[in-house]
Amino acid sequence: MRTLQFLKKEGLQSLAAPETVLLMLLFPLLLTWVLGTAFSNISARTLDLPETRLPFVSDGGMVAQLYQSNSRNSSLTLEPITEDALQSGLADGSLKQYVELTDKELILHSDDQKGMEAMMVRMYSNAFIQQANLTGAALNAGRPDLMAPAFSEYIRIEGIDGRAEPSSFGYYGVTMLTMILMYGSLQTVSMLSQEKAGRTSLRLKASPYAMSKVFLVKTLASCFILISQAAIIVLFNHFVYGIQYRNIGFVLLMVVPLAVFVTSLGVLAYQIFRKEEAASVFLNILTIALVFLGGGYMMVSLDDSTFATLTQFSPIGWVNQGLFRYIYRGSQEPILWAGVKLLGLSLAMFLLAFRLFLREEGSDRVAAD
Amino acid sequence: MLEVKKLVKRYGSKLAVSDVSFKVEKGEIYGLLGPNGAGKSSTINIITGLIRKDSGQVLIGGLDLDRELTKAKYLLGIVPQDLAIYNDLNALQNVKFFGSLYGLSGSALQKQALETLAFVGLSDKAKDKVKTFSGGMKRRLNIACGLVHRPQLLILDEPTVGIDPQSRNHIMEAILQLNREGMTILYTTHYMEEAEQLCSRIAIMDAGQIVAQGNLQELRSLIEENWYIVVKVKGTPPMEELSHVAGVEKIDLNGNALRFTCRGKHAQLRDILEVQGQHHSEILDLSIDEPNLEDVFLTLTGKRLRD
Repeated sequence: MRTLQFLKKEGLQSLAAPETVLLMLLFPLLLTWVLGTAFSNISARTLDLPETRLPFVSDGGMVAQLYQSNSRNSSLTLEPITEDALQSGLADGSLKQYVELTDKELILHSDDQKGMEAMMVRMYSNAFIQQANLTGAALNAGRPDLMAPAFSEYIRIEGIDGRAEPSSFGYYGVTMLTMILMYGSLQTVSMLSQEKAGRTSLRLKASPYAMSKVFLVKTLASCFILISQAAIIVLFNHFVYGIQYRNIGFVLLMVVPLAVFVTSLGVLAYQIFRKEEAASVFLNILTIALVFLGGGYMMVSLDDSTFATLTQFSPIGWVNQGLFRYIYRGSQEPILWAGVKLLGLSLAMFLLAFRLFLREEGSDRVAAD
Repeated sequence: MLEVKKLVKRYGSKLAVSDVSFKVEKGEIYGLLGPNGAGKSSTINIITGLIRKDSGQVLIGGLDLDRELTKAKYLLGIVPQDLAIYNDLNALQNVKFFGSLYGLSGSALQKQALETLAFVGLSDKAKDKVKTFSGGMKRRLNIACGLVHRPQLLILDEPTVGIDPQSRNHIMEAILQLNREGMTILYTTHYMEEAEQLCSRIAIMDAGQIVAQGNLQELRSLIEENWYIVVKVKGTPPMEELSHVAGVEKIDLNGNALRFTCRGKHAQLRDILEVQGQHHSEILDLSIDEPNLEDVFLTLTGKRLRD
């Protein structure tokens, strides 16, 4: 019951400073949007063709109608023009090119035959003819299912060797999440130092509630708050930005070891430095370094060898790589392995921090500070 | 209720508490009086389990702190010298949280928390954030947090430091009321007026030692050979000549009142009046003063309480 009351108190204190909580949530969401938008062009793996408009005249036959209606799928818009308008445009020089289409042939009238419009017409025409051939072949072979494949379902764009890559939003939806979790170590330090700064540690120590439990409860509360923040960020990213996480539940589960790691790191830093300011400076520097090594700031291909090497030196990198490989390649092994390594490190750091805590509690520091 | 035997505490080479022994009976207010650095807080910190003693024994309600610290803590309530409350919570949340540390829960916790807030005069501020409180209100809440679990022994470490007279009076009244209800109180202060007003028995501490203890009369009797003459004069008194009067140990000038600390018998009064007369200094009033704890402390240690 006392432990629950303590957890409740920690929760109330966190909510009592909504600006801090809001900042911890808004910061990654805003960064994801800013970086996602800024890098969206760089990250595009396909070149969007410009929308091309060309006037055309036709005999109104079936082929001409099909040609015109299907052209929109290829960013080509054929705009019907009357014979009078055609002649007038040619006479005053305002019409530079046009398409003439009958059931027998297609003629592109143009003085710029190597230009973008001419190229678009050639590409689309080839595709149109191939589609017609395919339809004819399918009809002859008795395979009507092949006659009109749906474009959006039939075509998928992948990286080389069939490897999927995240979009800029997908990338920062992961790296900003892990980055803000890393900054959670500062939150842990703040929670631990709060009792000393407010002198309430004196009252806590004079109470029958064991200080070792205070230590454990505060650590637990800090970790729980971090996981809650991560859940909010992931849900917001998914439902507002449309970022895909393959399986949100699994991703959140895999974020837990990182939250545990970050909490343990904060606890250890506080026990070593014993001052909030010093611990915070150290953690800030460490966070920047680990996020950088983990590919948190600059968008890198999953298959970039330098990135792969650097991430080995950063727990953030392990998680980033692991999550990317799970979300975009469907492989669970890297993130599970990252989780195991993080939990192992967390246990070691926490035990060391707890030992330092017990040593401090055995001294006169609590009252003397 | 509390027995402290031959307590010793060192910080490095500095002896903070030296062979301190005293006993607080159930239902009394016992004062630890001494200047800053006398060893009062160290003594209290040992009693409350905040720091470890080097040697000696502490018994609370018959429980030896060395063996039954946790049990003994249930009997204790502490009001630290520094404000030990959460500024980002409201008053009720503070009191309830500290009450819960002593095993209170549910409706009992709610009831006792509200009663305690009413006792310190903060009922109407129960739902207000502590950061909006004045210094005096925070002090009162600091006391409430130490009281909520109804301890048998309440330890107050300089609870009136830095507050306005109105809040101080409120706190003093509250302490007396608690005592009337049967609570035993250990009170440390460096304000001799507070010790005189509140405490049934007082230990005077200096340099880590108890230099004297007893009730007010017993302490005054330690300096019974001293007596104090207060003379109110008009104009500037002849301080130089007066200081040479035989038997006058010290003269304190406060406004137009001269307070003579004299050793011996009544001869000095005649001599003082003679000097005044020689300098045509008009005497407005004359009285014999009772020795106070400041006098006792000064006589026993050679130092003032607020040095």
